[in-house]
Amino acid sequence: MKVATDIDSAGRASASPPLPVLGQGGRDAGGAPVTVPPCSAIEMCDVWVRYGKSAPALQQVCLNVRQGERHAIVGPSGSGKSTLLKVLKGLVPTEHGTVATLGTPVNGKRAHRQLRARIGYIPQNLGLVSSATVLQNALMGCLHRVGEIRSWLGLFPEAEYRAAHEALEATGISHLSDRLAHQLSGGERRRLAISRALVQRPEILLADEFLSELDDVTAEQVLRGLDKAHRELGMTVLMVEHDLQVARTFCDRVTVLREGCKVCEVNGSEIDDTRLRDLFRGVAAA
Amino acid sequence: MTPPPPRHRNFAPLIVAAVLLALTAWSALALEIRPGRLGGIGNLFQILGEAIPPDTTLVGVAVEAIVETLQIAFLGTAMGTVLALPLGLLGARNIFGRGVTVPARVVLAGIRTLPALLWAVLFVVAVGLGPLAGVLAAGVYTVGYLGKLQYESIEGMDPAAIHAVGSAGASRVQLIRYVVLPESANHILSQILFMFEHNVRASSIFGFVGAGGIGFYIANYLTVFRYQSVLTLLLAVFVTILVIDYLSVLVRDRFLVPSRSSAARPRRRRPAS
Ligand SMILES: Nc1ncnc2c1ncn2[C@@H]1O[C@H](COP(=O)(O)OP(=O)(O)OP(=O)(O)O)[C@@H](O)[C@H]1O
Ligand SMILES: [Mg+2]
Repeated sequence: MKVATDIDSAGRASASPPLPVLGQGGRDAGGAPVTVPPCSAIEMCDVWVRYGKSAPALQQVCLNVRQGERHAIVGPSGSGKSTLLKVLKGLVPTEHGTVATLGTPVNGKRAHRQLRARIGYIPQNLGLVSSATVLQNALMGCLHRVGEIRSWLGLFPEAEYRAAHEALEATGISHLSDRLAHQLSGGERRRLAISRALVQRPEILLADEFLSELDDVTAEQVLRGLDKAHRELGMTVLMVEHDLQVARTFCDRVTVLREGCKVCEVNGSEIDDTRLRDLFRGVAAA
Repeated sequence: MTPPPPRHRNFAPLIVAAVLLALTAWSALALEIRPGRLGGIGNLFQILGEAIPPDTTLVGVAVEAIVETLQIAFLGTAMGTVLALPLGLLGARNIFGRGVTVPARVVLAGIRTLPALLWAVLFVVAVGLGPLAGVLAAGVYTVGYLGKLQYESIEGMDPAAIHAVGSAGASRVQLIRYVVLPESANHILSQILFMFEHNVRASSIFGFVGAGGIGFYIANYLTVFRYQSVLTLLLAVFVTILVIDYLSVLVRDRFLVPSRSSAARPRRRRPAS
């Protein structure tokens, strides 16, 4: 924790004008109530996305996620969940609408390195470097904190090795750290991608299919790890999750997407599984 | 039950076939290629008859000349690879913007405009007769060809890792070090081996223009019609190519981990020279 905050503030110091509160709205570990009102980490307004000439993959989507909030996106396959995350990361151009993350508009331009580092992204197909070891893959999360020459020579600071090891431990794959990534099982690969994102210590974590391929016990372990990171870093979490119960219980708010449209957004604690399932299937109105 | 979607007839293969046929006929007519004129091919067999048996007294010369040829090819490949790697990276559109990739590609394409033999002629003019001209020619041609092979295989990489690591805040240099090079190392190694094979073949004719190697002897014995000596030299080239082919298969099997996505492997193409 000590190490974590040190590097954290160092990493962010060079980012942009120092924000008064780094998204720890209401969840400060010290327990003292934070008076600054939590502002939006993610703002999407009337966003339309179309791939080629086909029907829009997203239409008229608005989404507001407060700093420090845990937010789940659920919806049937093909409803545009992955597309929404890619829009936030600037990987897919929008046809219409405005998008901003951490108060910075997302436009076609490649964001500055330090800004990119503040938003973690776990793609649906993970994006691991298959010919690198598990440890190396985890260390890739910290590249933004390591200088060009040091990282080119592979000389990571001791603290980063510790961070990588902790992250691998949190997801329960630290015993595999010398394996090559392409020798892992599906669930292990997913946990590795999560570890890499934890090493990055982003302010926002965008996680596609967060717990797919994981059994209940492992999923719970990973959620505990995420919960810890969330509390320590005041991270904002936006996850696509197929398990409605996890979405409802782990997240503060749940957004339901269907065929590219936002059907509704509800508080996780105020809805039960049956109702959520009906919304998901489209048999109930919002 | 919904009816199956209507099937569209796809005429594209038919059209492609018709176009290819038309091109063949057009080229043959334009070049006045008629079956009657192919009789001269028989002369080849006559030459072959005169070349047998090969001249065994020339084996020592052949070995010496082949060694020189291999040295030219090796130095040329080494020099070319060192320059091709950075240029190939600069040409990859999934890493750099147009401002960088377009100039890099123009340079590479410019180098490839001249076949290796023409480069050899130019370097003989520039630095004089001898193997140095051959090394430079092989090296320059390797830059142009290997650079292109490289940016193509880098662009064929799975973009997911580049996106994921890049969006974690890695700089371009770090992306190259941690994603691009490890993921394309297999292809790069395999392309370097291929380039070496190609350079051995290319430098065995560099001697025709005075740029060193076994080609010098081949050209000389050809002009005085000593086909038996020519055959010895050609056999030496043939055996060398076979051995290199065999060795490169060994290296590939030993070092190259079978890549998971076979679709991402580059197609091996013969350079035009
Ligand atoms: N690159 C692309 N080109 C064309 N269409 C695409 C592309 N990517 C996604 N689509 C289409 O956009 C729609 C939304 O896709 P998206 O990947 O966002 O769905 P999803 O909700 O993540 O689904 P899943 O749960 O199956 O991952 C789908 O209809 C899909 O076919
Ligand atoms: Mg998806």
